[in-house]
Amino acid sequence: MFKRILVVMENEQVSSQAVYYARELAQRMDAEVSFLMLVEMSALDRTWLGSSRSAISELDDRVGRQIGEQSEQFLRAGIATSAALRVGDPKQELFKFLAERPPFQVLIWGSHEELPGGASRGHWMNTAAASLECPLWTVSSRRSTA
Amino acid sequence: MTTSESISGTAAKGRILVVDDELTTLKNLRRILEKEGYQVSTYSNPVRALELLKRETFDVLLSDLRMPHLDGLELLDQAKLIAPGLEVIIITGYASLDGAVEATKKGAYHFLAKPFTPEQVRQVVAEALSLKHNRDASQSLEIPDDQAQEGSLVIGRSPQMRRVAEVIAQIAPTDCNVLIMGESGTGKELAARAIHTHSQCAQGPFVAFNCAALNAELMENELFGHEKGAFTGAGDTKAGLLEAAQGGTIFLDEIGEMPLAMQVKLLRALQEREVLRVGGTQAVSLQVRVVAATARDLKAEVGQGAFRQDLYYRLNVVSLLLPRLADRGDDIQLLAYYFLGIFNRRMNKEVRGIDPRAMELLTSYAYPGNVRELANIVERAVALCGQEMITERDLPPDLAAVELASFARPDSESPTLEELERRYIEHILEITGGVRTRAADILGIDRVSLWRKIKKYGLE
Repeated sequence: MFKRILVVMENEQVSSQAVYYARELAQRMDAEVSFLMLVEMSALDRTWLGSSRSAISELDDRVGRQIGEQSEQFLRAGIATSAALRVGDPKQELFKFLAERPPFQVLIWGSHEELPGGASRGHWMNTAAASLECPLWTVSSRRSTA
Repeated sequence: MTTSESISGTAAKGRILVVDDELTTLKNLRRILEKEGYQVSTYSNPVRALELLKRETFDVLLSDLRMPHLDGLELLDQAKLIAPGLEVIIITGYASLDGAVEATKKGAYHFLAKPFTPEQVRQVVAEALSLKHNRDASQSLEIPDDQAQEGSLVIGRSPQMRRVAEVIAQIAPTDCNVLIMGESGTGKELAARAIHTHSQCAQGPFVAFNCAALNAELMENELFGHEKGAFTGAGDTKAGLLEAAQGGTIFLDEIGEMPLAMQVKLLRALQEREVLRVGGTQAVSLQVRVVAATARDLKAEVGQGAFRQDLYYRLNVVSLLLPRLADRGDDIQLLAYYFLGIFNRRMNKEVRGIDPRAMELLTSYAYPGNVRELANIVERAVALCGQEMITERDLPPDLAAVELASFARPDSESPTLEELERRYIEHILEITGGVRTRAADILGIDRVSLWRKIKKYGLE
């Protein structure tokens, strides 16, 4: 059954088009939506994050607010949502997240509009996509591509 | 008095038959319509017009309501008998509501009130032709009777779906296990039902079970059943779903989600052809065909150790790959009209078609939810549609607003014909206990051919 959609975002970037589309798709398929925010943090480079736990706590708050705003619109439309923040290597964190849960039927790339496979060839998602449990879709504005 | 002529137009937009006892009106209509590129025949005598209608094909009949020999309603009656697909426009100078209501009941949906402007004529004729083309399109997309039963079909005219239908026809009468692969919403359960319906065990039950729905313990109880007192709360003996499917087909959906511990038990049941209820000591013999389905790449799961290889081969005697809807765009129009018919009936509505812009949006969308998503979109559109045609307004706004792109996943490998043949012969040899005479009989080939194939595929 088609019942679970995952919106994958990275580094606190949220594409309004992708979120809008996820909501429409969830509504017509009567599906739940999970938001996953992946924040990249190399084990060797923690400078931006600092060593203090408060930095992670602040990140948690910011992302919580960011996703909370999106979730509210979903809840108003009667769509169940859940959200998660993962910090670390985005590819590994995504696979760990997927492994811990029942399968999703659709993954939607929920960050910047340009396609990871297009403009940024070196994007980690290019190698991750082939191993995903279901198709990954990117969303862009029809008007902007026309 | 009769005037009749045909205008040959190599690229006529449509053939229009005009009938009116007023010659001035006929002349005006001919002029307006020919200017638009239509092929026009005009008659002042409706009886003669009917004679022509018997000999030639027209798209639209434009007829006056009140005429001396035969009024517009009678003409409409007889014309519809001769050419049921004809669109009829009734011209009335009397603004007669009764006549209009009567004409509507008889199948006329268009009216042109005298006096009319050329623009009004052009508009009403264009609408009538659009409706006719839509209806013709939907009729040309009619689904064969054997596919037309709601909820029990695999629909499509694309090469991919023709291939699916061929494979189903080939494998259904055999009793081999089938693994159906395809994304969510591609119709795996419908394909499983089609296999069951055309199988030798069609009279038996078709039992569907979703392997992602329960944990291992509950799943074991559901599939294998339990004996009375097997665990707290087991007040009565209960047969499991495998037993419930006795003599028929069990459809194991999302087989890739089955826990490893359960995979072992299922494999044992399939190998031994018997089930042991939870808490039971007496095995129950099992005659069940297994059709399993997955949206995952099960072969890859086997490679990663997440799915048992022996069970994979046991289930995957024949595999069937259902294409994504986006990969068989030719079928979208067919399916859209199919669902339009279904939801018209369910909602008691009479939406007659899908206008070109709406159809363009439907055919250009990527459908992550595959056929099920298309069905949901059409259902919503039929519910919202307040006119004769589904328009862009009735469709979800995101279809026009966003564009989807997919990271292509490598398709699950489709087996070659040779691979299928090898697996099937292996399966038959297994169920005949290696008795080649019997195996050759089942396969419909002579023993020498079977021997050659056994040698070729290394099945000795």
